[in-house]
Amino acid sequence: MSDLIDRYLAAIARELPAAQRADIIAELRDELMSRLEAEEDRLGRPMTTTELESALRDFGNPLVVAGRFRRTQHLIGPKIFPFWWQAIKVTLTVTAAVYVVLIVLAILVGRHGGADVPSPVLVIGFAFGLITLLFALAERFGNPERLARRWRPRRLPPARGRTKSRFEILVEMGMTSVALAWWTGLIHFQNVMPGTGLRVDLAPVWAVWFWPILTYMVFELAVNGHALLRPAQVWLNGGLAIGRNLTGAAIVFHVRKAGHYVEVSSPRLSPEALETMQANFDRGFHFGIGVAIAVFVALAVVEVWRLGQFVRLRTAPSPA
Amino acid sequence: MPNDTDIFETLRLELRRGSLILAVLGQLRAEHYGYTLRKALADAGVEIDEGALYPMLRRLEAQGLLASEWREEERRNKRFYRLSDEGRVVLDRLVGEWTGLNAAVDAILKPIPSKESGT
Repeated sequence: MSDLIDRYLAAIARELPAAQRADIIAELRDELMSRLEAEEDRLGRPMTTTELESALRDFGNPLVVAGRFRRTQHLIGPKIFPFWWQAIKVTLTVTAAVYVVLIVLAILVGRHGGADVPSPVLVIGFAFGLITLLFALAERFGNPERLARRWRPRRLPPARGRTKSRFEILVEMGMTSVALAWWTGLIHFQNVMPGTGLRVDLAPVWAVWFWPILTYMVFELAVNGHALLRPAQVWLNGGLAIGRNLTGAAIVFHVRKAGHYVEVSSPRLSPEALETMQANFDRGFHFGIGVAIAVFVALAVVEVWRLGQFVRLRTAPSPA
Repeated sequence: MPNDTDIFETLRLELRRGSLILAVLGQLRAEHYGYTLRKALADAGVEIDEGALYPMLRRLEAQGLLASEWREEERRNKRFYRLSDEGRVVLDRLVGEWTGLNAAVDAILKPIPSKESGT
């Protein structure tokens, strides 16, 4: 009988802080023995091993019994949980948006360089672990009450009117991040078509517009970041979004003047076939850039419509 | 999905949680060791399992509300707890809170007179 009790208490002891271990175990041993003796008195005979095992199971799983003596009872407590959950949702949305873009691009232009882009499972796992660690540290050493007080009612988004949703903003930020990483050379996409050996490189016009396009992408990220953090500033956010879309339209409009967007080469194709291919690519890009201009202008118009709707709803009487 | 019994059990535990500390402090106006404390509480109608009791006793002692000492009794070393002077002051204040809260909740829970009775 005592062997089972010793093993049980030793299992609890292993999970306790060394400084309090002996003290807690001595007290638990006394409680356990008093309880077992009372039960034996009630039975009028010594307990069987099965009965003892059942009594120990009632006393509790060693991990649970020891865990109750620990100062930290949870990793993320209820006060900090809503902030942790929000951070996880934002991270997952941005990561999903980034990988959707990468997958679409991989389908369109070929397999992306595996060395440059880690597996989404790895990225999500790492992000989840890092966010949880940071919040667990904030839970333990920070001040969750202070965090909860750091908000201002006047910064809340308007109750009515169609402002851009948080999801839309996050998806756009994810897509811009991929584009920015590609534009600055952080990630690469395969530009040689398998089978034909056809290689497609950007034409010199893109190098001329490198800095304006880079500045535009950073501006787009900043505008979306501002809309995310300060949704109440509807006019400023709307104005910035209109400015951003018109700037984008102006940049691609100037790029479109070049008429020649990619350099096509292949060791396997004849010069005539290559020339036809080059013309087809340029025609396709010319059309695509025209569509991009139309999309930029349409997005600017949507923002103007949203602002108009915001004004209309603000001046209209509130629903009962 | 939790059924009515589960919901009731959860609410009952929440309701009891705060009052257990009061019961433990109150019981420790007289000296007890863990086992007899638990028995005394159970005899008074307040069941508490040892998994909750012993960590609570340590926390209350660390907060200075309880004092303890090891002594041998019935051939075994036992840790005896009693309310400290600071614990007595805190208990008096908590009893005041408890009485006020009880009176307020009792007043809220008083049966609502029906319109037919004319009151």
